[in-house]
Amino acid sequence: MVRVRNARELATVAAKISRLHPDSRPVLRDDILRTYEAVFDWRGGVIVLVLSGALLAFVLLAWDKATGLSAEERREIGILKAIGWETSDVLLMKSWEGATVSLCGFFLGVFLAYLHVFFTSAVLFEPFLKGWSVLYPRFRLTPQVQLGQLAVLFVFTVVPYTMATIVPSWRSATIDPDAVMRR
Amino acid sequence: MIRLVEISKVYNAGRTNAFVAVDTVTLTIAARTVTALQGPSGSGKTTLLSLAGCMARPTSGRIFLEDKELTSLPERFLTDIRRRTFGFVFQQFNLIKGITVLENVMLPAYPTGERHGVVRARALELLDRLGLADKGPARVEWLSRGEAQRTAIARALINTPAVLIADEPTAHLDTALSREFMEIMDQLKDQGTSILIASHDPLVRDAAVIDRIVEMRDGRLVSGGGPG
Repeated sequence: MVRVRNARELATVAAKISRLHPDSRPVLRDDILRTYEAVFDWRGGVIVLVLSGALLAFVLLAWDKATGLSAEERREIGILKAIGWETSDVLLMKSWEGATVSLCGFFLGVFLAYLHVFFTSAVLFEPFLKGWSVLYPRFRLTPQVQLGQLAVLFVFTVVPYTMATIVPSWRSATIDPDAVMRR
Repeated sequence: MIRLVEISKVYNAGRTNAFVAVDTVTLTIAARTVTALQGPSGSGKTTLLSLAGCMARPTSGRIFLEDKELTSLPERFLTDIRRRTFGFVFQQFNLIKGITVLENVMLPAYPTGERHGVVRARALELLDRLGLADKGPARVEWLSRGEAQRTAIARALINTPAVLIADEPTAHLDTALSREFMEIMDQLKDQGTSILIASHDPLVRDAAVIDRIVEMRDGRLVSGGGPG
């Protein structure tokens, strides 16, 4: 590694090294940064694409939940109404159920992501993000937790999932309680 | 105790497929008695049970519990009365799968806001009384038909209702279990519970515990109507 005090001389020094040692290939700090930027820019794009797929899958799951309950769930709501539960009781229970499931999922996901990043150095994504033998010198990514990102994840997962469980329950909970007797 | 005055129930009223399930029925059900509604399928027994138990509102006519008129009450108050006054045993038992016998029995008590420990103790006592003391932690899917039936009875009794309403309770039971069910009804009657059973099972009709038989056909009372 060669250090040059005057940044304006970097290109000249590199040219001189090339001339003196024709088998070497001087790489400037700016070249490394440009390479990193180019590499991470498109890889970041791919990761966004993968994330979009995951988000789409989540939206489909929430949509599936929002557009209907299973016959068994509808039957259960009918029974609860028949044995004296009000519509509001059913909705309260369903919102607790939705909130519990999504909160558990969220915290489990955050916990696993923390383990993955901080204890295994993101073993699943690291080779893909850094590349295999493209980059030099070797470097370690510095993981960090950003509360803002966690809050955004929370708002975009827990809240819609909880809402998605309430809407179909509300539709089912407004049935007459005697529907169970007539089945 | 329960007074039905000229009640009718029409499903799909005003449409081409309108169906009169109960037609101008007047019936009084006295306290601490066992009344059996008899009649063929489609005669209106189940609908009459739903109306008497505040599960459905009549299209016309009035329903009184003691001297309080229920017909005009808002849904919320009606649900509260249904929860505290009536216990229901359904033909298909209608237990909720995936949870235990004890949890099923406690379900009707949750909206009352009563303390969990008190409700749990009462549920355990009921299970004990009905011979299901060791079945509390079991899932309902594992129960035999007789055990499921008794669990449904325990659930119906958890809020200590004054009236027990049973719709074709012996339809899925063999003779021995049907007799066992009627014996339980006898015990409940002795403890002061009024019972209203809809059934076309001769075993129910002939049971000694029955005080009165009301015959129905085509939504109307054929015999046994009037004061209880």
